[in-house]
Amino acid sequence: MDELTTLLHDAVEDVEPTDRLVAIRQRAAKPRRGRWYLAGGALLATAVVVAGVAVLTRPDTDRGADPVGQPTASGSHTVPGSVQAVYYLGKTPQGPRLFREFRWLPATTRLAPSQYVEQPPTDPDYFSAWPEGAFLAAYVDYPSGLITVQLADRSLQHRPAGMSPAEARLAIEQVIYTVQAYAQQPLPVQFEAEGNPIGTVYDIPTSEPLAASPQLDVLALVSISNPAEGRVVEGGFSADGVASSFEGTVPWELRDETGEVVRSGSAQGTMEDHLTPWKTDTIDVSDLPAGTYTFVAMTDDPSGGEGGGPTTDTRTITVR
Amino acid sequence: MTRETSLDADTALEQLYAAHWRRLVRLAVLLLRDQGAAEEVVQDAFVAMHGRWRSLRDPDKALAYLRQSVVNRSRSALRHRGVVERYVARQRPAADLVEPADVSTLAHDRRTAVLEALRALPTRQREVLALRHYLELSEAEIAETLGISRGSVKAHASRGSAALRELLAGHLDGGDL
Repeated sequence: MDELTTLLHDAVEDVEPTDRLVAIRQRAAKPRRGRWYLAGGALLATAVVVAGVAVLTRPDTDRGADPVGQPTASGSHTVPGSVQAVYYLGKTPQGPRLFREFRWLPATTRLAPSQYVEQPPTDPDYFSAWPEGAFLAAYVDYPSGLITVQLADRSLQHRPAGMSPAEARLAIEQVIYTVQAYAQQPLPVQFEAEGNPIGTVYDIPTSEPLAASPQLDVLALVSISNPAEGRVVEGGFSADGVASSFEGTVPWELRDETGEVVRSGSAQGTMEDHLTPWKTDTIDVSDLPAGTYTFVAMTDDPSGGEGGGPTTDTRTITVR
Repeated sequence: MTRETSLDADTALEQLYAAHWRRLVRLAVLLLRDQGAAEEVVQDAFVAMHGRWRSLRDPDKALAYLRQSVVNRSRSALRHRGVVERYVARQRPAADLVEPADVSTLAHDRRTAVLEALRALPTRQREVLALRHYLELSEAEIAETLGISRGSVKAHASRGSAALRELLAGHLDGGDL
């Protein structure tokens, strides 16, 4: 290698590009850039990548339960759609909390943002608190600063058997967080049925517009944005997400199919009154045998498990 | 592993992205300097490649297309950005390509100097040097990527190297240039 070769490699060695696979797939699947839809009198861009974090959920493969339609057989044409942040319930040491997942939603599904939560999550560790058909529509009215979520009927006024009060409260937050992510603004959310505000949903008072509860009260304290569930990795990858962890430290592990830790490290975020971004360095997997691995991100737990142990979020990835 | 002939556009996109995204962004940083702009350019190239997959159908051809597309798009991005750049320069004291906290000031200075020096070169010379010394392409491959003759590649390479070495004299150790 001559000296200019060394210098040029060195000059960009620490350039770590952000992951844009979702944005690329999203645009690759679109005939035109920027589709605009009318919602509640306001023009919304549905092509926004929420919070600037691009993540892929594998849209059209391997999941029978996935609501996403198959592309045409040739594979050369795919459906238009958008990437949306959807919140789901999952288990943490603090009880059920919301995890954020980025979903590919084809335009042809014509879902209202509140209906996103009716779609099953990609990550098998999560679940939704809402049955299919729960919602009719949702409107974002920017001028008057209100999001209206319409339930299909009054059948969900009361908490069903088997749902705890904590889960019911979280179910409401699941909708609020998801439609606010869609709106890109923390507007209050009014639940309605049959054209009027509904007094309770799952026994939670909803007659007035509701604001989202603080993140640290409802969100899982660590959440992975990248890699997406099922991501195929060659050579190396980096992971990122959001967390609120002791001193901002987010320990991570890569485990093989036997559960053995084959890589580990920690990413550094900050500690504030909301979740803040973390990102790992590049994780080199070039010398790992091809196969399925689990990436685990954790909160730091200086108590050694006394407080119920760390919150974890996981993603299954395939190393080629 | 999927056979190449049966690769569909989406799978090809995913595989090429996994294998080449970082390298192509770094190539674009050498050409454009700004990382955000570099990512935009390479993202556009991947989208275009996906759209053209029916006629490419082969990962090697697709990679050649991506390289060409990144170089061409970088060139046109440079042409259109004079105004923006002056504005940004006023907002931001220094380029934020690297985190000075992680690297020694010396390495940081050297990297900045290399990128600055590349910027100072004529476009063709910069392109030839980046393809030769970063992607390590052969003369023939560079000629094909840029759509110029091998003789021109040689000429740009030799003039470009000389100019770059002169600009970077302080950062090249040893006098055997």
